[in-house]
Amino acid sequence: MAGVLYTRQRSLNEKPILDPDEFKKMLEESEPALKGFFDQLVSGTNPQTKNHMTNNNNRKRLVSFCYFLAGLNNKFINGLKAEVGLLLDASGTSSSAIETLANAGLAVRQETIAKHKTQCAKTHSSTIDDFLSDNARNLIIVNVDDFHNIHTYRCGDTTTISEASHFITILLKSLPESASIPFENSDGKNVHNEKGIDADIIINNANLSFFPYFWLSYTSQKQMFTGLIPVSETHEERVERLLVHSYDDRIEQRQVD
Amino acid sequence: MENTKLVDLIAGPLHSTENYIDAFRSLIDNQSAKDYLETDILAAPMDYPGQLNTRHAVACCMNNGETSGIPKQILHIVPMIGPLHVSLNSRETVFLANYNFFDKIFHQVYGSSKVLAKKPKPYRINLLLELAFQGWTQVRLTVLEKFAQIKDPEVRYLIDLLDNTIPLVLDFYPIIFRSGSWPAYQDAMFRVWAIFY
Repeated sequence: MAGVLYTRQRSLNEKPILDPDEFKKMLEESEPALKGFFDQLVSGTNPQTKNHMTNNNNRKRLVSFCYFLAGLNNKFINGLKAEVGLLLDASGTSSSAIETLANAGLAVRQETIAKHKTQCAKTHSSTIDDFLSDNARNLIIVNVDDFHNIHTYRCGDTTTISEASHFITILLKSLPESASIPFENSDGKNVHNEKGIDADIIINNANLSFFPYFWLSYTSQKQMFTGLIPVSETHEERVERLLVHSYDDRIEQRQVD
Repeated sequence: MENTKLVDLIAGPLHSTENYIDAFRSLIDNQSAKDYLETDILAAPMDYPGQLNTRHAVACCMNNGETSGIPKQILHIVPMIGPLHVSLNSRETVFLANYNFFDKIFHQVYGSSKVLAKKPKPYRINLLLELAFQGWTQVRLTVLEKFAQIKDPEVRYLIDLLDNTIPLVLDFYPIIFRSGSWPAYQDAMFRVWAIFY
């Protein structure tokens, strides 16, 4: 088993598999001698006497157990421990606490985490480069917004009232199904109107396209759009669309997951 | 989340045009982003201050050219207001502008002892808008028929609110925008714009 996991992590550079079914499949496919090994471990947990939920959780724990076991055989199998270490580091655990857990064999050492982080930072710019060159001909949307880390429980301490920080997030999203929009058209005119906000165009368009129907209420106007927009909807869809702006419960759901 | 990449997470505020220019600068400084912007544009749906400040930067760069000190690549970023923000803000505006009306509905539904916040959470605003809308669909035809000839401003305002404004802000993002129909979106956007002014 150590051999299989070692090749996966060090030669193929893959992340640890945490799903029990996938893990078992991977194990049995790469090493036929291990057929039934995982099932044996499962039966060792005495599953008949436990309920479905507990058994499922135990199966998940056995996956990490396998990783730890393989790690004792070969210390270079530390994919899972690295994940644990990164999680601890990201959630603000002190280095001495991480060091203690590393000694217990549950996480990697502080230095390894630091190394891993620099590695991530280094590859990040090349990921962006790859992303942009892959999508050179596609439309890309950019999102710049501010972000405050306020979605956790907060309380002030003796020196600070609030530790909410401000961040700027810059996101790129490509749409492979749409072509990119050129800055200049074939006449050499660019996307911006030289006049900035051009009142003439606005008045013209409002007169032509909007004012003839503006006396109609939206509900009546909507009936003219039949065919363009969906009319009927199920109860679920209706609830879903009412929750469009409720981020809190979605974030909570994420945290539960 | 497919095809989405986080370019950068920078600590700092995002309040002024300069902040926005700095944020875009960190994107523009990337060589491959520069190459992309050489010929093409990046569409940037943003919230209200976002598009306003970016538009400022673009206008400043257009008028002053090199002397403005703004990288010229900013011209290749086209800011626009995001439909989700329009939806959220218009719901809130409509609610707050007609607070007394919704306050009455709220007490009818939840009892007179409950208190409606001065600026409730989005879910509560949605709920009250939806309640008003569902109630209105049940009596709409009868009321419209009965009051067709009445010119009393209060009646007209109420009918406009129930038959025009509330369904519009409820539908704007989830139905109109997601339907992908440009004429419907254009019309709805113009109507929302008219509410704000």
